[in-house]
Amino acid sequence: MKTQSLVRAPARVAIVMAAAIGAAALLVPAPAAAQIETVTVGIEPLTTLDPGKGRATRGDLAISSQIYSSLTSVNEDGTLVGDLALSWEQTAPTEWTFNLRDDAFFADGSPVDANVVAWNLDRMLKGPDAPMPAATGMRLIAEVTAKDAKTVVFTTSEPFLDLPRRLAWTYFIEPKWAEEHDPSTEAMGSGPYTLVSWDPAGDVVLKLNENYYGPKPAIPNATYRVIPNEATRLAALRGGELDAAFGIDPLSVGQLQAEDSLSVGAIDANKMQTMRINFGAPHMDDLRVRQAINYAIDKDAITKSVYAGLVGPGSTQILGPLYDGFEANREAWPYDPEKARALLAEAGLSDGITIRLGTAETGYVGAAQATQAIAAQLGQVGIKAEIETIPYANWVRYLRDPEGPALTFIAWGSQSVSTPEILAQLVTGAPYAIGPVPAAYDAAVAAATGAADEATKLAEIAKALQVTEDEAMTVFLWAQPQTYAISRKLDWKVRMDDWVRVYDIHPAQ
Amino acid sequence: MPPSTSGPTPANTASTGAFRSARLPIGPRVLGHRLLAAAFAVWAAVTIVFVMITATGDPALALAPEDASAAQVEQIRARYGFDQPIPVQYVRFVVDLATGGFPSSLYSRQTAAQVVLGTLPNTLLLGGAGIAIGVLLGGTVGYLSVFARFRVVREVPISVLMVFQSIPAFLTGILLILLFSLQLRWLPTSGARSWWSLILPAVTVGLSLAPAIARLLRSALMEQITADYVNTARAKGLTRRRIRLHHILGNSLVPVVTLVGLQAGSLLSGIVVVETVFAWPGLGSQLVKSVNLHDYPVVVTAVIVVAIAYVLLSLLVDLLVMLLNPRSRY
Repeated sequence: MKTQSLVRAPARVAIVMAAAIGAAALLVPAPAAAQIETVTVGIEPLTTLDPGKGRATRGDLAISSQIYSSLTSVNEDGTLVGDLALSWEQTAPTEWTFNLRDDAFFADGSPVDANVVAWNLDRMLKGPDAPMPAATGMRLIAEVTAKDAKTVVFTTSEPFLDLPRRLAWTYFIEPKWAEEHDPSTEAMGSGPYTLVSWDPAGDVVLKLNENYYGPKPAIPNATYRVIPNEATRLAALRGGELDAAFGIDPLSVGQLQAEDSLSVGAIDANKMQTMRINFGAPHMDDLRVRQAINYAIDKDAITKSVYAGLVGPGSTQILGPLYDGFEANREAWPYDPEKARALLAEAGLSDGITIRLGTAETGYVGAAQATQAIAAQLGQVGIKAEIETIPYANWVRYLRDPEGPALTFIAWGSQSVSTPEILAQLVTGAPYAIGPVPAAYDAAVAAATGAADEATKLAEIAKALQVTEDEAMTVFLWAQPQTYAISRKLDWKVRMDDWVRVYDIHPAQ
Repeated sequence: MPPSTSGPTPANTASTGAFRSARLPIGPRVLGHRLLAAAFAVWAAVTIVFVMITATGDPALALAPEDASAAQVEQIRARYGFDQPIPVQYVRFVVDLATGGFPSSLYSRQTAAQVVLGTLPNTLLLGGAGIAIGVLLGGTVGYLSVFARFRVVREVPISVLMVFQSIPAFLTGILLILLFSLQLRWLPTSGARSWWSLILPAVTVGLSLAPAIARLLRSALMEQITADYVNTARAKGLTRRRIRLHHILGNSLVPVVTLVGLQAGSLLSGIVVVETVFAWPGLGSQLVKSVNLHDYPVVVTAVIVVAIAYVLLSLLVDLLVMLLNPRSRY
């Protein structure tokens, strides 16, 4: 019996401590064997497992997209493929019909059928918590009905060509299970992996779903590890505690390149970084001022310095290469400070102007430093830019503030890789657009969104892109660098969109 | 000279008499007063945080789809009552709290209390280990800086320790990671997966506390060393070790205990930096995340927990000080 005080028995304390340390040492995982059983991936802080509430492809959705199934899926090259859906067709201008596979089951054995799909869409669009974050881009969906167990019909309020694409990140939970469980913190899915444990501030552990209907993933176990601090994340990579991490600061890429065990670099993301223009801010309704700002920014110099040459100047469009209607022959807006000064003089502003410049503390790779460089370059042509650096907590509200700054650093992306969805971000009245934009742009985007056929859609997209350039509707910058550091024992083709999914990984040959 | 109860030698009574006394060193009236002040402090903290968080934007936008129309956002705002004036929201919140209707986190079905209390053990573990290291290290170095036989032992450790006072905790943390995780590969960089994971964050916390403890103990010891009661004790023939450990150190502990108590209180909120650097899943990390998500029930609950802990700690410190120095009872 332990009756003696520990304080009187320092030797016992030492023994207990030694035993505890020894036991803990045994619990530390052994180094990976030749065949890769598990990988550990660094990830953004997590909030929820509920696919109706998750937003971030680098965060919550990366996890839930591997536990749950969707009707369709976007491949790494941007093509749309079926997941639950074997086929789909536009059965009427405002109707899409999806035919489902019959071998998809939740872990409890219940089928992932048309009723499940209809119930989930209803939950996101009309349920007690509706509209849920996952209902983004679903405005046109009027009704979803299960024609039979294997056929689900979507009725839309107007033609919605991109609907199958939009459904690529809509995941389905089991209705009866959801009544008794909290989908925010628990999961019972049908996807390639099942959830072993979920700690939103620590480790999320996944293992292979043996009953998965699709191709078997090459890596049987995965741990997603939340490490919010960049320096610690880099140390964990270098120390071998992480097998991969993404969204690394471009200036940190160099120090990781010295590590032999890591493959480090960047590809252009399918996401363009821009400066959003507030058309309601002083001087911003003047085309000459908007053009002058575009001419004043030396994109080549900034990408070479702040972005360490990982990306180059982007062209005059807000689309990445995976989007329908992306124009590969477009070039970057030229750097011409003389012309910028001349345009400002023409606008009667040769004495210079002062504008506000907003940027987020985190979120867009390289944004904080790039904004400093942009402000300095604007200063050289007589535009004094006052920088406002906003914490992430207030960022969304700041973006929607009608009194917001003249220019705001932002990167446009769409999980569906849908062009109308991206273009719609800039139309008059859109949540993140401020002030009236040129009417020709609004008209082209509306026509592209509601187009009845692909040819019309592409023609309208081309029109919208041209208006964006002609009217200098945004400040065109560069592609966001998709920075990565991946263990050389893994063969992981980094995607241009942000998905960080273990089933994209194979052991290196 | 016999020790006096009212004279300038409280030391002996403090270090011997008080510990033997079974009587609570604080009267019910004083205790009641303190508890009332504590309740006021908690209420004030909750009010300030509630007003600040609701005034800087409601979470409706975070709960809505990206392309939600203004009407849809308004619908969500009304569902949660965020459309009400802040005073109305505040009264409703306080009434809910008072009647036990603790609000749920906006992002799960867990109550805010469950979310916060789930992270508290990790923070207490880290804070406790950090304080223990800080006290041991600071106390040892402070003691040695006065009583060590060799000059080098008296001067070098305290000088080295003082360096850490000027280094922010996050930098200490990163330096420790670089040395022990990357260079020597002895310890993991982050997380809370084994006891090994506790060492670096706890040492970081300890190193941020130790310099002040060492310095304060040193000056307290220097002050006591020339006191009359030390001569008395020497004259009584007590050993040098007994005089130092029992009398001088005992009398020097009052300011140190007060400091540790105050630091322990502020540590609960200040530990957030260390938790972030080491990805330690504690209250601080949770607080940062919830502030980012505008999950106000969790934020306010976390503040209530921190405020209560702070108040309890300062009460505990007062009790300890009264035990160590009976004069402060009155």
